Amino acid sequence: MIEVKNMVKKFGFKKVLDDVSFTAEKGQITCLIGVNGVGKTTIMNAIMNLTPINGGDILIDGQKLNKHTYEKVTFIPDAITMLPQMKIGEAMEFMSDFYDSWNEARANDMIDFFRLNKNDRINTLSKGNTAKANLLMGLALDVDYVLMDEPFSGIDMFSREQIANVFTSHLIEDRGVIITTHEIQDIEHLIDKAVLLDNGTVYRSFDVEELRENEGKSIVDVMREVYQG
Amino acid sequence: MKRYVKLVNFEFNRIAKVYAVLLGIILTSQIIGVMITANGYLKKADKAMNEDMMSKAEFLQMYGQMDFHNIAYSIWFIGPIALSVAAVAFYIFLIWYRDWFGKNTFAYRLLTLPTARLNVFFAKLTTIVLMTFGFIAFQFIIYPIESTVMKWMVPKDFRIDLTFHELTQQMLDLGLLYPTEPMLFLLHYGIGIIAVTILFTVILFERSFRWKGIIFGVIYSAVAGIVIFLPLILQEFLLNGYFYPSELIRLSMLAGVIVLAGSIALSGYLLNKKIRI
Amino acid sequence: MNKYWKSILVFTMIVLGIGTFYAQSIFASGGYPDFKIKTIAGDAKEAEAIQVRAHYSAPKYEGSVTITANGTSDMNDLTFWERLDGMINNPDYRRLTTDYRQFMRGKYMWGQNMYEDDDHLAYADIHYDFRSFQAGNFNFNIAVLDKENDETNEFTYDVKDDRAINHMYVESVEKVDDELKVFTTINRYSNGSDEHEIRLYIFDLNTQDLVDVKTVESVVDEGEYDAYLQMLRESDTLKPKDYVVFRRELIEHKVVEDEANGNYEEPHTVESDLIVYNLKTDELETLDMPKQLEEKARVNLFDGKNLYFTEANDTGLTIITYSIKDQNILHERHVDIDHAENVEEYAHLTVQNDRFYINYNQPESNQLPTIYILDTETGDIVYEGNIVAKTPADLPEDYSFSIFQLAVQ
Repeated sequence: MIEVKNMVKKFGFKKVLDDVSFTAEKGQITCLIGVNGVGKTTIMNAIMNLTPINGGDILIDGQKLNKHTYEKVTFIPDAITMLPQMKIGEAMEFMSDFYDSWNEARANDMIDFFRLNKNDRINTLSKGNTAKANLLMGLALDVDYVLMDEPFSGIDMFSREQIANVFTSHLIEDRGVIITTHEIQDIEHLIDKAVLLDNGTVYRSFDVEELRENEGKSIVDVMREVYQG
Repeated sequence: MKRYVKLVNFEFNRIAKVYAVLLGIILTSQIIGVMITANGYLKKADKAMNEDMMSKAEFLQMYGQMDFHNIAYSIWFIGPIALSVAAVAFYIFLIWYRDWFGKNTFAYRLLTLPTARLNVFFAKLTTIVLMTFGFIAFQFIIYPIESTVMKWMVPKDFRIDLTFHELTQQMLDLGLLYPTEPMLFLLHYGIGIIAVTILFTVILFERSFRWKGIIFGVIYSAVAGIVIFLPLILQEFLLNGYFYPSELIRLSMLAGVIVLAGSIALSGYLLNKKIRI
Repeated sequence: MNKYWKSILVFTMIVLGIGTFYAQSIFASGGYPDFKIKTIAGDAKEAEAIQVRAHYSAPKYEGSVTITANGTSDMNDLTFWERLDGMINNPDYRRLTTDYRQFMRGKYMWGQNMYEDDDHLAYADIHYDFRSFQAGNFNFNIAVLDKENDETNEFTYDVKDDRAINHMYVESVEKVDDELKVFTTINRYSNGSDEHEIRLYIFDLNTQDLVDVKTVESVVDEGEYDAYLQMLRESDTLKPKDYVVFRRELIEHKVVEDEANGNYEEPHTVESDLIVYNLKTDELETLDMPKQLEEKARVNLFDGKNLYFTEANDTGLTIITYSIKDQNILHERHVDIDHAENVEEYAHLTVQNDRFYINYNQPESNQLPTIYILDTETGDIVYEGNIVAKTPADLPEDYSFSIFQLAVQ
């Protein structure tokens, strides 16, 4: 379980995140929802210790983040985190060099699944294929948690579909996923848990299934209440 | 440790192509320098002896024999060395900023590797040191080749053969880069490594606090400078020359080690607690 | 391993390149021939105390070498740290900083500001505040080491003077019983009439008080006449002396008209005499010197009791030893030297431990540098030798060798 407790983040004197708390369980897909600039990416960066926070705690399976945590949780940002002049194969070699949790077999499966070519250089890939390669570097790690920042932004329809399929596949099964998106439609049916952010705070955090049963509302309905009401 | 070695190798491979080109430029330019200088000397000798009817002895009396100093002061020889120095100086900054700038933020990857973040720091530092020492070693290695080219071109009676040691002994500027004795090498490059570490810390300050970090960085450099020069300052203004020069250098070395350790500790703190993507 | 080859290559290059270079530099001979002192006549032991420093220049090497009876060394033979401490320059400094390391801390030795006998080592220098525009902020730093019990008697004294002093420095330090006698030169600069004074400060070492101050001599420049007061110091400045001797000179600068090269000034000695201060009686001695000596070439050498006059001619050097105590010439000796044309210019002379040393090298000739040693008591030549290369083949055809220091340990 990833626990974010009372997180505070300031840029200068301005609080961008104030008292943000939520949890993300293994085997569930948790979605951070909010308009652009609400601090979704900052939360993810903070979980990965890529930006300092001004208050609160972040625990992963009850432990504070340390170097071993990176074998347990991976982050897939909205841009590829490999050197552009690398071939996909070289990038995979890099990952296998540094991560004990790298699963070569699964990586090769994904190459086939996404129809990527190991000999292609990353800087020659289309936007969609770059996103897929990026996804590959993260998902081929045998980690318990995957953080994904806007996996669908600016990608063509077919790639989007392919990526969405990943979420229903064994690639995601049993893992805890935190995802941010502002295009909820593609994955609305996959989400287990939604965390609605507004004005730097958690406006509402709820189990999607329960909400549907108890209030008969979808995520989009709640979003309308928040952002238009 | 294993991941540190892998990181060093990775960092070095990232610059290897540019580095190879630089080595190529050094070799080509210096050999051209040898040929041009030797040719010039031979032409002068030819003119003196065939047109001005000087005897060999008279010519040597007037112009002296040719030795490698004639070459070493030419732009063909010094130029590529200066270029290498500039390249290393520039890369001290680029080695960090290239991971932050552009669309491909490789810093994400480096900072989420399952290894101590200081290993990234050490790998980058080691790469700078490897590049620098590589240039020095390369110069040592290609010198005999250049010397041989000169031997081919200039007849024995007209030249004096110098070893690289003999060459740099007389040249203050080159002697700074290639000190003639091991202790000086350690001192010069020890100072160099400490300076690079301080610069790295300043860069990390900047990466952590952006423009405010530059101010912190400048303050830190000033403090580091004061600590390093503290023995010298005390000696001059308070102790009336109490220490012998050898003791003073040893104390300064100690101060240097303290600054080195401080810079590493501070860099580790910034990388773990303050760094921003 | 494939992806590691570049790093491995560079790493190997570094280890081999830098390793070989510095291994070579450790085992390098230094690039100069190994010089030694070869005995021609006399006891080889006499030459053991000699240390000659010379500038050796050959096509491949240029630098200073230090030659002793046993061989040559240069800077490379000392450790890095010894060289830093300036050990090479002065054998006395090397000995003192080794034997009395703690006492010598922060002390600048330029010869005449120290004194040494069997029991004591004394030091005096003058500090002044260079930040102050007001002249007169001079003060003495005095330290005397009792060698036996390793105790240092240290004190300072502020110089007081009615008139502004421009410059002041220590000429000589002498310890007589419980008193320290510090001779200083004081310069006062004013337009056209600079004043030079030799002033003696006597300190009581028990009370650390100033006992007496006196002007030994003072001169003023007048018009085209320049007056000089100089201590005779080309001998062992450390050891105890009976007398301190100064030369007073009046020099006139005559303009020589030269149409070809332009006019130039030529110094011309108008007056020259010696002032002898007796350290025991604290009185000035008047020398009743034979006319022969008074008119003779300048005297430079003094060993605390005798004055040594030298006279050069084409056949060599004549040394006349004059005893201050007896007020007469002890002996006169002519040393035959080959190629003596430039003896006056190129001979290095020193007196130490009852021996008179001559080291002569004619740089323009291929003559080997020669060394003569005379016994100052008898005036006999006790040693003659040459500076030679141990292996003559090491000496290149085209080299130059010029001596710049003759020291005796």
